[in-house]
Amino acid sequence: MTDVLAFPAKPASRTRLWRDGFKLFGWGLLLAFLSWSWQSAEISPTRLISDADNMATLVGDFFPPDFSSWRFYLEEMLVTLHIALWGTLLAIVCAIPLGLLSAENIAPWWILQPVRRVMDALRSINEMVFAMIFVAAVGLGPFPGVLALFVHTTGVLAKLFAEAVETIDPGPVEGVRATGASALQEIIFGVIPQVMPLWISYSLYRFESNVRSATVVGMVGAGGIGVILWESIRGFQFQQTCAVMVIIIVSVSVLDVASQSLRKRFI
Amino acid sequence: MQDCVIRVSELNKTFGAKQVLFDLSLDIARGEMVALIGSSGSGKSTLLRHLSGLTRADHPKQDESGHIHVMGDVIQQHGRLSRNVRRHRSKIGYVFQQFNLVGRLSVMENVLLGHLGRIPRWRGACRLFSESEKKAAMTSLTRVGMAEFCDRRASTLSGGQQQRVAIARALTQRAEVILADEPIASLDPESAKNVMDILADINATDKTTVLVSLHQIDYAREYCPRTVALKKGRIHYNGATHSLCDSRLAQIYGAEVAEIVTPLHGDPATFVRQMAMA
Repeated sequence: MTDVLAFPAKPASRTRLWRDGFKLFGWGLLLAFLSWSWQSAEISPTRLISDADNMATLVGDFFPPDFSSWRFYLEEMLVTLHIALWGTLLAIVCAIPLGLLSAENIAPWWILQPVRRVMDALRSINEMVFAMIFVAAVGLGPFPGVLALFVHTTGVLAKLFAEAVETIDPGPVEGVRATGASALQEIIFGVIPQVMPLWISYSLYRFESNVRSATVVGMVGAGGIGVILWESIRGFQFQQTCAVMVIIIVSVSVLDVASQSLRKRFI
Repeated sequence: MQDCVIRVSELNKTFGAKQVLFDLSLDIARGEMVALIGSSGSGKSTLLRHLSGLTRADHPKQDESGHIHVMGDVIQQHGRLSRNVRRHRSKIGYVFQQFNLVGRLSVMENVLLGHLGRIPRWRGACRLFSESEKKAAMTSLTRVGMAEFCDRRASTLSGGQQQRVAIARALTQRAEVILADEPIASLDPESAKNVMDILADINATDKTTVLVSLHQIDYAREYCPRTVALKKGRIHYNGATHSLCDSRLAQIYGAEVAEIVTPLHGDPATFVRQMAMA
């Protein structure tokens, strides 16, 4: 009797042993990977403590902020907002067709795959990199900033738009199809009304994040408040830097709140 | 046959490894109101979807099968949709079990969609509907008793109201055939009766051919002179509804009959036994 009971217990304990072994091995691997990246990133918390005096002096140099040319800063901040606005707007216009073409339930695979790969490429390259390229191509000023945001955001929005399209209810689309509508009409009447709230929400979210990005593309010469930020840091004018940062923080926060309250209306 | 508005010949359909329609042939004449009955999974919806080209038939081994003609137009053959299927669909009104209205559009806009198959493509895509088209949509809405809701969002309506709007959409199409796929299965009894009354009125007044799939025989007996009974993808009865008595249904469906016949009283199991004995 005992033999019969013991028989199935043995293989069970062996598999558990294997599983535990694997788990331990997995944790070991993770730890090894983390410590390797620690060294590679040259992380040294001791330096934070040893250089504490240095940093205290630097922070001290930032105060009090120097708002003497605030009018100029505000003008450049406005330019920054305009860069973000047009970068986002152009991206939305392009992301609508590209998003539809990279949605599984709309486009056949031979269109979907190439479009998706191009969008992946646009997304994987940072706005700053695009900004540098466009500065070289069209010269200094806000325009290369608009182009940089436009290209990168198109990649991001096309993916988000496509994901929204992939979650729609196929019923209404079929309802439109059954009336004798064309493929384009199916999209206009069956798909777009369903995804509109999400599309608007994603677009506003990207506008918020583009305002933040637009403040830095100026650092590589692509216009806006980033230019002043960069110049003042390089000129060790830390009190001016501080004033510019305060202006950025205030305007980005105000826009975030405004856009969030706008977004809530569409969800 | 001139008067034959729906002609299906040797239709086969397989989903994956499961065949759901077997060599199905069916003719329906102009002006008929025909019920398509069967338990769930018998192939009613699949058959109706083929008629409007929403589903494609199997690609047949021999060339002479799998034809579907509606109003003399080829909808599909040999498992291929007709090149002009989108235009042909405008003659076929389709009423779905789940209504399939566009929830975020208004009732009026949903009904205007009925014009899409007939007007120039660019005009439809730009939502430019003429005054007379808007008037026609309003007339359809009045006919189903939904005119006062024309500015409401479709998603705010009850099921019965949505189904009436869906019928108004088919009316706006000036459809000569209406295919209704379980139009009352998701409705309460009162709305169900209302919807069936409207369909019967359209059939009687406009001479529109109506093919309506129903889960239960009661409504077929009340509204449809002819019934086609499907079981497991094959037609088991095709003829006058009045000769389709409960015992005949029991013969066809066996134990599944409980799904199709609503017992007046007593529990379903006893009923099935009685029917089997009759």
